[in-house]
Amino acid sequence: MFRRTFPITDPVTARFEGREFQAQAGESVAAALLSIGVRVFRHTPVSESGRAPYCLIGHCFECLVEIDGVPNQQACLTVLTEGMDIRVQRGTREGY
Amino acid sequence: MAPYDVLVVGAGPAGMAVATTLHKLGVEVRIVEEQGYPGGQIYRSAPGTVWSEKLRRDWLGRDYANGTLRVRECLESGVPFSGGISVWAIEPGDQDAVVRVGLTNGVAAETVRARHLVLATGAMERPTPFPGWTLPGVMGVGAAQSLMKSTGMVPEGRVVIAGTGPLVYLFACQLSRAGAAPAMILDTANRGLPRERWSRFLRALRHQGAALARGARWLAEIRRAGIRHRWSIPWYRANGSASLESVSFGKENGFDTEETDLLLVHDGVVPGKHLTLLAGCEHRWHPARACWEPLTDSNGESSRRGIFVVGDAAGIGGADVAWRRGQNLGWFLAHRMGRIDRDRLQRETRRNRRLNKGTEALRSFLDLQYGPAPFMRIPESETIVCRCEEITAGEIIKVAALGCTGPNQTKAFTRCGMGPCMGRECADTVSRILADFHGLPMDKVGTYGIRPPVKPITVGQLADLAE
Repeated sequence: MFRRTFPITDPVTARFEGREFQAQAGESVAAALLSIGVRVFRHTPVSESGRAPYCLIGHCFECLVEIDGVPNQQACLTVLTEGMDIRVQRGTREGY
Repeated sequence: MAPYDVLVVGAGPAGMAVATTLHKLGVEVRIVEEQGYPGGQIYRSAPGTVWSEKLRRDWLGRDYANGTLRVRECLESGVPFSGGISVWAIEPGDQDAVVRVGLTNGVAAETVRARHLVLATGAMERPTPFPGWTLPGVMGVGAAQSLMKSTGMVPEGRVVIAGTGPLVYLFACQLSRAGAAPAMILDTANRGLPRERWSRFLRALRHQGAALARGARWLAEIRRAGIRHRWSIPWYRANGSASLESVSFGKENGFDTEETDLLLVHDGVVPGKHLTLLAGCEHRWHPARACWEPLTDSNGESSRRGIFVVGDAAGIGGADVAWRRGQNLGWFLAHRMGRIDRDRLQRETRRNRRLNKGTEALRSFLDLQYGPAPFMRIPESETIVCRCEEITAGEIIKVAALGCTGPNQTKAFTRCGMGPCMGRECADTVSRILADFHGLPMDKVGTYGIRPPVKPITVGQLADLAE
């Protein structure tokens, strides 16, 4: 959905759904995921519909992902750090 | 720990201005902010990066460039600033009028006390539902702009912007300068200026001619860039099964559907009211601006003693108005705490008061000419209103027919507003549907009651709170 206009100068390596990727140090998890073409961040508890960021400033809670085993993390407010293991959140924090 | 003299929540123009003014006078003040760096959304940046310079110089425009100077002034003043902090609770003061505020950095929670709390939490994009708005690939214009400011990223593929207002035109220009011009703008406003709006336009021209000229230049730049700008769009919807595939929109005869990779929507900005509601401040519905505003006196004090609201959170006015009001609130608080006398207060605040005086004229015109799309006031039955719990407009109307006259009762009946966003995105739509159905004014219908925690914290973090 989004592309970088400048190359990564200060790389950070993390994993999304087990797949390794690089992003710029200091970026939010949401920004990093959008830059590698992630289309679905979570599946809703009610209908398992795919959702992605809507507001990107911490209001809408659509960007909830599981980071290092901890669910319900707002990706737009979390800074990406080296070695982070990010996964799609499926339903509520307990899963389906 | 002794209470802070002043705690400022939010480091946008207003918050930075209050805090810096107070800090320079030797008042003990601290800023807390959710982002890692000051600037708010309007001056959001990626400090220290190579592209920050190019963004500022070539793409984002002069207002943004000036804004980054304000951020630097804040940082260089040495005012205590804590980034990555969210407020999860606000308890208005007891007898000693000291406010208790719950803070969290995501890992640990704490409560702090302050004699004066300044809520400078800014605005949010008006969350207007339309069919398909929950699909991945649909996001706010402001969202994409914040992303561009903080990372230099621009949309990839075919982008359509739908909605109206100055932010739409500004961002279309900024994207164009970065080589990522949108394919089309679906503008819900009308192009022309009907006779009944001339007097308001002329008033705006007299007081804020420069700002109007800037807007006109944006529209001209959009034309020069070859971006298709369709006016008076009667409706639009996002289509797709798992994510956005196309956007359909009405036109004079019939409708069109165009393949789209990203749909950026914008229906104006409104004050973010979550924290002012949490603090128990009274609010009033502003009919012309179609939003709730906290009741504040001329100094910015809310209906709760010791709690002040300033900047867009108090009423949309833009960055410069927020900056000036923030400075003046800083001077006022210094006076209230006995650090400066009345004469000095008058002297120091005079210029800002004068400069802010004519800005209402521009707002008044913009609210009218680029107001929220009328066709979207009451969503279609199948449109999701509560994104978190996936409650449709039809379900809200059903319980309205059963006798629900308020959003809190509606929440109990349907779960609407019970999701993680706590009604930030659905509150006004729910209230509007109820008001419309029952023929009640918005002030009578009200909005959700907000209780802590308003940001996620764990039981463990609560248990570990140092008392």
